[in-house]
Amino acid sequence: MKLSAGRWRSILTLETEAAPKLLVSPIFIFLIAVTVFPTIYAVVTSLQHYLLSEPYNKHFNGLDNYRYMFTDSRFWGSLKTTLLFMSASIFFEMIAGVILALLMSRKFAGSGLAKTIFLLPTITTPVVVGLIWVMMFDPQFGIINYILGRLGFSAQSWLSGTHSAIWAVIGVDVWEWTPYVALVALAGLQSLPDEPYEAATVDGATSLQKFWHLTLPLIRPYLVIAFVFRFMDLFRWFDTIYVMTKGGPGTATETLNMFGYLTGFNFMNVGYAASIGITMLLIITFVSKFVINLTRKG
Amino acid sequence: MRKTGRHLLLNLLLWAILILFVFPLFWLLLTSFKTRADAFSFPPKFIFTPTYDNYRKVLEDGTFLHYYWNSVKISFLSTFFSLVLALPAAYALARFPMRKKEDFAFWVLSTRMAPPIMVILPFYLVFKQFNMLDTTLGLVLVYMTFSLSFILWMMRSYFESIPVDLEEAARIDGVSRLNAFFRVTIPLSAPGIAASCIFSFIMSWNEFLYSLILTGDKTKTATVAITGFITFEGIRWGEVAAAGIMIVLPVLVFGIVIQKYLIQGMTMGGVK
Repeated sequence: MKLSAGRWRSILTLETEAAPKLLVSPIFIFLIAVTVFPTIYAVVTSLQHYLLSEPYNKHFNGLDNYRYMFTDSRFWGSLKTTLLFMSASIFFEMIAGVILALLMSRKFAGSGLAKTIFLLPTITTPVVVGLIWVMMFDPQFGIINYILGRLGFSAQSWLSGTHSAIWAVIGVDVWEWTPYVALVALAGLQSLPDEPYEAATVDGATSLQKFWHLTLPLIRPYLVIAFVFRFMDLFRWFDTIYVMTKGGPGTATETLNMFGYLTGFNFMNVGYAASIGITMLLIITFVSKFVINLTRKG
Repeated sequence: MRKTGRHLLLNLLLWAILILFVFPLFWLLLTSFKTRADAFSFPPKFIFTPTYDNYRKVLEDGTFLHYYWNSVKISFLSTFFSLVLALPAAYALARFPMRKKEDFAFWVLSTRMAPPIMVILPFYLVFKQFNMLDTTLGLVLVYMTFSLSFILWMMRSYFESIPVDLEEAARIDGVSRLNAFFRVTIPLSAPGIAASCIFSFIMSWNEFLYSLILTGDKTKTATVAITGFITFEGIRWGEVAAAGIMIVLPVLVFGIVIQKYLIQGMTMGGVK
């Protein structure tokens, strides 16, 4: 079919019914190519015995990788570590974030500067964040042990302790992302209407009552946004953990993502790594559906 | 009187917390100007004679600078191509009634949720087969998978905030829709476009995992290169700090420039 000159012009000037399709199709095709195709490829890879170290021995082995995963204590361990890392980080970030937002929503000198300072940890390159904290956590020369020593505590090797390492990693995440939660919550606080508060004051409500029955429900949509984004990012978090501990000592800070990385690129077992990736995709899809339903209902 | 006292106390508390939050970055800056002896002194030194030696050492042989330039190049290219693809789509989502519009927008958003390890494995294997490992093109393609969704979501909500009447007026004057888009909508949304570009640039600049896996000595980015200062003999803190400041500086400057839009970007337009 040959298009007339007029038809061509109408397409090129977007004066056509098909304009939205024309505008959307490039990104649509690109995203299909870079998301759907890799997902299928990953599924296929996950059904194979495939070691990068012996590519000649690549063959399909059905669900063997998945079956092995279910018996692999390292997989369950990393799932547990992921849960601890995510829940502890979100818990502290949400609470500290809301408290900071409340502190910042009052009128005070330098509030603009305070907001700017607050942005810094959140946008700082995560690898550099990790390195800064490795330096500060240094058991011999680190400033953290120095300050703790001055306060009368004994020195710790934070990042090489089986129990302390995960909390060190969580602490860094809280440092990096509490400001984010705080700034989102602050946007919520600054959008609050005055009337209900005036009414509540007339009714003799205390500040705590106002916070609990007015502020929290009103800024809830903002908190949900902060929660959802923190949730998504924590599940895929990698950079600071890689720099600080590489999942160690042992497997103490090995999250699912780190476990998948090590399996694929250290142990060269890409078949198994793909099945870990697919399992993570299933988990996040299922959980996010659940979370979205929960937020819609409430 | 009691009220101002409490106010003052809360302000003090707030500033103390803020200092706590900014301290690690301040410490990085200090360390970047310390000699080796000062960096490894205990108790840690706050007052010392500053030296530029670390920066000199980092820049000396040009390798780090080469990787730094890679970061600039790759962040710029991935942002540019994402903009070319996402801007028209964002405009379409903002202006036209479309079937399954929200489904499409959420599909784009959901690409952000995909576990990195699942995304990167296929790319790694395919790139390996087609000799695309350690190439600029390969990394740019992969970076676009996340910068696209940011630009699309940010620009959609920006276009929606521009009154459609202005375009309509131009079209009544006989300007085609395409021209109206370029002459009316684009100039009006320049701040939004600038902000989303800077935002996408920062995201690519900060990226680590994909670069770690997909690049080698040729196209390594600065974030991967900095981990090279961690050697078997130990970590050369002064140099790490200097390189760290060099990596962080453009991000902080850009971040402060687009401060107003940053939270909007980080929530994909969810918070205005």
